[in-house]
Amino acid sequence: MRRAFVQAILALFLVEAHPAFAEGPLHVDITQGVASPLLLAIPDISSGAIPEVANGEDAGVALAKVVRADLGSTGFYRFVSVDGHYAAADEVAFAPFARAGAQALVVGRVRLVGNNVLAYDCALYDVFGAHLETSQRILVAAPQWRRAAHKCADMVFAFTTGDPGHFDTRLLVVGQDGERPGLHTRLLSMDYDGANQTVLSQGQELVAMPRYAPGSRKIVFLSFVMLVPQLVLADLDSGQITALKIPPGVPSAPRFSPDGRSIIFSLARDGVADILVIDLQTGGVRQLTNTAGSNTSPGYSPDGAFVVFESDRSGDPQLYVMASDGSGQKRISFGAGAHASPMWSPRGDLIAFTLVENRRLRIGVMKPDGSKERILSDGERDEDPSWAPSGRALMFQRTAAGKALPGVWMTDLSGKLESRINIDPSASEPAWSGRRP
Amino acid sequence: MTQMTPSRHSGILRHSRGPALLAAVFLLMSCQRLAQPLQPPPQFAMQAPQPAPLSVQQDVAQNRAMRDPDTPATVEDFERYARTTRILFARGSAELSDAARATLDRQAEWLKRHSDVRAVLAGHADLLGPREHQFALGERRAAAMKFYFTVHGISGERLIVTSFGKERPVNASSDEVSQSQNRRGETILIGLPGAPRP
Repeated sequence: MRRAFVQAILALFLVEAHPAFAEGPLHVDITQGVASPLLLAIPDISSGAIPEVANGEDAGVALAKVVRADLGSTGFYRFVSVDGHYAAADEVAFAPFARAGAQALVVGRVRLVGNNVLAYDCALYDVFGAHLETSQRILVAAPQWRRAAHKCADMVFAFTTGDPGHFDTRLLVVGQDGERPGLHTRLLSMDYDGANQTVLSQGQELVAMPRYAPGSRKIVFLSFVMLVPQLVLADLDSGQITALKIPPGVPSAPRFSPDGRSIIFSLARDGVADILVIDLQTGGVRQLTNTAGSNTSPGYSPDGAFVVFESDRSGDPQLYVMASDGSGQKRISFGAGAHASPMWSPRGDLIAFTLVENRRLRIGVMKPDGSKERILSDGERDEDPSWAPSGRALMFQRTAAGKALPGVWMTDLSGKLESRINIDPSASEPAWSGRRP
Repeated sequence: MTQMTPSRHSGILRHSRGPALLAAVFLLMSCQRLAQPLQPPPQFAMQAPQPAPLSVQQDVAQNRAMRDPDTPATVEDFERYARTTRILFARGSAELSDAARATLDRQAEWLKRHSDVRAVLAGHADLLGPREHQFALGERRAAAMKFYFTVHGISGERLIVTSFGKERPVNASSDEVSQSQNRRGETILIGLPGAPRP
């Protein structure tokens, strides 16, 4: 890994107008699934071409397209369009949008304000009330223009749902090249929608099971050195990589604690796998499970108080929850099939998992007490769910029937809005970052 | 009959679970064997099946190695002697089948003759199970191989257990025949010509 992948980021955000989110008419109620999407207009507001933005396409139009793609992927919005073109200097009148049925209007105006610096003014209006709800001026280096659009979509999402958005985020995957998985793997990072791909490792060695620390600038993953896996920490800003000093054994399944200070993982020794935690400051290691069989795939609740994990102590792999000191281990999954690779939602309300049943792997969610289990995906081999920081979407790995190499897909929590993330040629094991600063 | 003794013994060892048990089982089975009536020598049983050609090959290989103790330790020689570096497991299981034990017997024989050679034991699993569970299963498979080798006199310090889980399948098709090839354990010599760097 080199420092070369560390990109300089210029992103300053000025928040104006209303704070946080409203209880007003623009609130999307998603407590009962998506009852009625918000009718939203995001007109193209032309700015002309700007150097280093969207390959010379009209920058304002390109940014609006990204904002629509972001918000459209959630299922919480239905887009309303209105005839007519707008230039950056034009006033945007509410009347045509009101007539078309739009409840909300997003107006984004972009211009170059300095040496290679874009200003994107993103404003959310209540169409019927004819007033500004919230707005931001987003300053960003021109080549990072997509981040400005993602920040704008995050603002709209946060205001209308009450949850932080997940658009200005990164995705970590294992890039797969070759006729079958594992022949040539590289660690790749990219925007959550697949854009701005960066190669983090040009591997001779196999890499697997990558995860972000809170935020998006530190990662941990499994790297095979001379056929033996090691847990490796990488700082994406400094380019520094460190192999963790852990007790002898075969480690796997590393994840950061919510405070970023420790890493929880599974260590297999003499045919038995248990869950351990290593303190990154002191290097101290604590063992949390001590049972026969395999205990693996640990993951913290967002407050760090509990750990969900997978154990086959009762036969098939099933999900268990324990306090973060290892006490009170309790099985939570009792439905048909094996339950594996759990991940606790950042909202705390759900646990996503892989269901293994009849030689199929599918993605599901359940409440942390194991109730309300439901299956979201319907592929042949869907696995490795990873939550969006909003807790409103999941990435997962899908291997289509008859295909050797997997792809990375995103789904909403209804399972109805699936889309494939465009990663060339193939990728596996997605890990979704936290929000970027 | 004397030629059959070693294979009988390894057959007994197959069912043992620990070194402590081993001696007792060994003794018990030896007594049983003595109490059995002697079989007629094979050369007089005209209808008896021919010996399996595989064991003839094994004998040839063993004899050659015995005749020439200076046969250099190479990956090629190990593969020729053991016939395969790979054993297969049943789905979700780390138990060694009879076929797997026969392969490990030959590998152990070779490793005994080349006591300076170390080996990585790599467990793999099929694509039909969850990733991290399969990873632990791979370790369980490699640990079973290590246990078998140590019972057969190979020092544990020469053996490195590792797992690839489902990260490196030999066959990515989802049919059963393809997936059965992924449930495997591989013995990889290290520090030899043609082997991975130490």
